[in-house]
Amino acid sequence: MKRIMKLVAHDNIAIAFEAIQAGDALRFEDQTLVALDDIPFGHKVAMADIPDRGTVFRYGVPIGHALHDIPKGSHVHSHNLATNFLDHQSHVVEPTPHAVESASPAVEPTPPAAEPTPPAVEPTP
Amino acid sequence: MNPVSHPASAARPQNGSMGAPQDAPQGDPLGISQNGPLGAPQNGARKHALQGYLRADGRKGIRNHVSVVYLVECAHHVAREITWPYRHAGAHLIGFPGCFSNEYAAMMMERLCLHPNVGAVLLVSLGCECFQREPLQEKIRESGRPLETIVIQQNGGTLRSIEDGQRWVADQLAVLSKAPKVDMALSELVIGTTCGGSDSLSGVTANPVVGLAFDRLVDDGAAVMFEELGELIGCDEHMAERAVSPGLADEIRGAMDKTRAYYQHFGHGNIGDGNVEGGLTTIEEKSIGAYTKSGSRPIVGMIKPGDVPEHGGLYLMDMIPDGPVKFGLPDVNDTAEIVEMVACGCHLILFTTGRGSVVGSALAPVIKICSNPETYRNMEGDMDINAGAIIDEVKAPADVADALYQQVLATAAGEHTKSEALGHQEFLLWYKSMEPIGPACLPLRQAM
Repeated sequence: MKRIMKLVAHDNIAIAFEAIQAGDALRFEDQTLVALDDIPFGHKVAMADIPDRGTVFRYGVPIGHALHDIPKGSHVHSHNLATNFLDHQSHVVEPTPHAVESASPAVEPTPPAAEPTPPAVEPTP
Repeated sequence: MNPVSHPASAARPQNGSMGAPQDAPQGDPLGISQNGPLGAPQNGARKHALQGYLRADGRKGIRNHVSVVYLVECAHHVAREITWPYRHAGAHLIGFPGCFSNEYAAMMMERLCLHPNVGAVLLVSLGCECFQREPLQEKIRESGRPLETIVIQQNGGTLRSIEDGQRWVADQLAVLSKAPKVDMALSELVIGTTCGGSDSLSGVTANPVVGLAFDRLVDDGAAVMFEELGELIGCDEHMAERAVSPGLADEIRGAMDKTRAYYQHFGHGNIGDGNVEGGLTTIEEKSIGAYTKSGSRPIVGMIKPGDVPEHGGLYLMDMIPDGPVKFGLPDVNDTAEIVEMVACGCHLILFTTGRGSVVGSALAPVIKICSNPETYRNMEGDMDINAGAIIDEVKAPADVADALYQQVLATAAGEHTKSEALGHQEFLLWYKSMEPIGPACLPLRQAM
């Protein structure tokens, strides 16, 4: 049973207190669920089904909206969660030439990564 | 707090001709166990009552420091040499390095010299700086504090100024050590919070723990404050909703607009690769992690550096300069922010860190709350509270918050924090342009 923590009762995400692998059983207080993805230490896991455009709550307050349906047990991060403060986020996640380069497989340092986590490094055509 | 000596304070000035002070108080080496039961429970009665040093303005201090104040960088060395042998005995070094006058800096110097933890003030002037010392002297005299001014150019230069200054400081420490104390309620405490060297766990462990402790202190009637507006971007509306009046809500929105404009000027990104790797996805998520330090109580006012709260409750301190961008970044480091909260009368500071900041502060003790269990193990000598225990030992945040609350009481009662016992006295004051707060910033003021 992997440890997670939800800080406020109506949050729909919890924080991984240890590295989680897909299929791991998770429990916080009386809530149990199964991880659908690998979730690194300190990252977020969905504690409920979050609908497309639905608000993600951490500390009881909105931290952004879902980019598509997020099933309970999923890793919640840049691939499925976006800011509600687009103007601020946009200038920060602009890909730098270095970041674009690092997205190429030749310099990819972590082969087991199932999916490209930071969408910020996606080269734009 | 009784001024205490420390092994290091035995290190008298090397040159015997400088008149090494002989009367520095002696006592428990670290002053932790023998600071006296200043606020200790007395037969279970009024278990939260403290004792403090009553000042003429009605405020009470939890320390009785002699403040040695340089009025320009050119007097810094002399002031530091005066302070050094007594730095563990209650002498604290502060000052303003600029030669040219600045309204904000002059106001800050006044607030710091009149801080309730200050019992006596030694001003050290070179003599030709532009800083106007007369108004400052006048305010200090009015406050009833013992005051001495050494003008180096009129006092025979460096050596004699150090000698005279050390003699005065030693005399004052001896007097202050016998100063009577009066009852002090928790509602008379003013406490600030900041974070530095944050990591991905800061918003999970240490910051929420401070928030819980803040709630309890507010319920006790204390005044508490948070700041760092640059790290509250995205929390605008949530903060506005917590404001006790619509006018205050608008003032908060205005301050956040100012903050965005100010940081935009410097081209600051608010969330970096390290944050994303650590599991933070959005700017509002990062901000909200810092924001959790503020707890859940209503925001009763917005103040600016140097404004002293007149009643209890949770305050937001707006430290972003007003007007066109001038003099550089709003606050260049954590210490600059702490100094601004100390100028607001904060008796002590709750400082959260994940990477492991070691700083303390002049005049006000700093309680260090470590978010990361590994950092805590590596730097236990610097950390007062291990909030990483929430992860490591599966402790409830409420339990760690209770330990922090007890630490606040112990610190207010005179027990040294880790940074205090280690002699940390970080201090930084620089130029700024600040306008007074707007009329709607303190809606409860007239009701008082």
